Amino acid sequence: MSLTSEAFEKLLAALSSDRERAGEQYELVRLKLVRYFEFRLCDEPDALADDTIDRVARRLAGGERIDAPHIMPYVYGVARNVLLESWKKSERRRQTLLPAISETRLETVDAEEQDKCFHDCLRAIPEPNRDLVLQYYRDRGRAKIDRRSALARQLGIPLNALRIRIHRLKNRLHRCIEDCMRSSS
Amino acid sequence: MTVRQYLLGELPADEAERLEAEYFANDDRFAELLEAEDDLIEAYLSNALTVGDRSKFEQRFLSTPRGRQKVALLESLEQSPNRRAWETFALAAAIVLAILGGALWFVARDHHAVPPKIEVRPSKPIPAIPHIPVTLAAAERGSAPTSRVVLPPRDSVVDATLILPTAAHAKSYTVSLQSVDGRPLWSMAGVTPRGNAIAVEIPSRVLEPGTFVISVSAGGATVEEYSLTVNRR
Repeated sequence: MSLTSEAFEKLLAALSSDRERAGEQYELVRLKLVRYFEFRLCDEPDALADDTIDRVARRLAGGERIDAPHIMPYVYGVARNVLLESWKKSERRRQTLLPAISETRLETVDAEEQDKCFHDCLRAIPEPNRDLVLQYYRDRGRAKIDRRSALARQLGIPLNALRIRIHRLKNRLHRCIEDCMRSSS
Repeated sequence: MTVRQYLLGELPADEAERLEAEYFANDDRFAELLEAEDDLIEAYLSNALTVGDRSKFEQRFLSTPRGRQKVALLESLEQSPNRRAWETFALAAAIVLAILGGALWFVARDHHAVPPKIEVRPSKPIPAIPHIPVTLAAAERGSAPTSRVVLPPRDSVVDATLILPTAAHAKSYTVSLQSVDGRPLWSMAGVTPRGNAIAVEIPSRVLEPGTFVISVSAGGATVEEYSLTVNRR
């Protein structure tokens, strides 16, 4: 079931009373969820993150009241349920579709295609952000630490906020590369 | 340390859940986790992990398509500016050589009726040999799953990770590549396992398009066979 605009509005309102801040918080919630399902080795972390967000939003639309300070623990609670359900589903699939598992093991990797997708997707990121990602990953050791601190100062944000911004951009890159690889295979 | 343990799957379930609840509630904690993940991938790419951590890393990060892509993305991002810097250096070197060459030619012209031939070639960065990773699962009786790789036209290396059967406990193995009709093409002895897998680098020159059998043996006995199909672009 897709998310209604009313449910989405309720979710944004629960994240923050300030519309712009709510948008940022929404992206952050999604990033945390994707990472959570990745760390738990799920096959489709993006889909599970969206499922979690849909459930939270629908409960809010159904009249449940959750204030901003409690929304994150609530999201985490829902995410845990989604994870357990996904594990159960995977287990059922393993038991009932054993021959199909061999098929899913087929893996085709094309290094040149991957490299092309990486560069195309990097180019698709608008300039200030593209340069920011490249600068963030330039250098090693002490020089890297200094560069990142300087970038945060330049942007007028704390270092941890810069880290989160970079990982949001990286997540966009991930999705773009996955789509690119899927469409070229 | 706890964050790193979490990333390597070493934390007990209750501690892992406590950490997850923390990073959901606290953005700074989440940022630390992201940083620790980058550090871990960088350490893996620069071969700075201990044997034990490397094995855990490979089990966690290289066992899912997303994990493999994460490692590949960070590697690409780290190489991008470096490559650009190298190209700038190569261009600068070519300009310096050209200027030096020109100066030498002027000096030499005063001493020789026929100017000596000075060939200045712009230096080009040596193209990196692409590595194509592939994971091969142990064959099941009668239905060996075939893994496939698509190789670029130029020289490349296939980084093959072979998942060993659970009963395999040898300290080292011999890996050999054969055509389906049993013709030996390549082999490597003394390959030590990392966890339940062994990794070998197979040069693309021995991999013509077709299907191959990769055989893993220890003490003269075959431990497992894998099937690999190769295509070229």
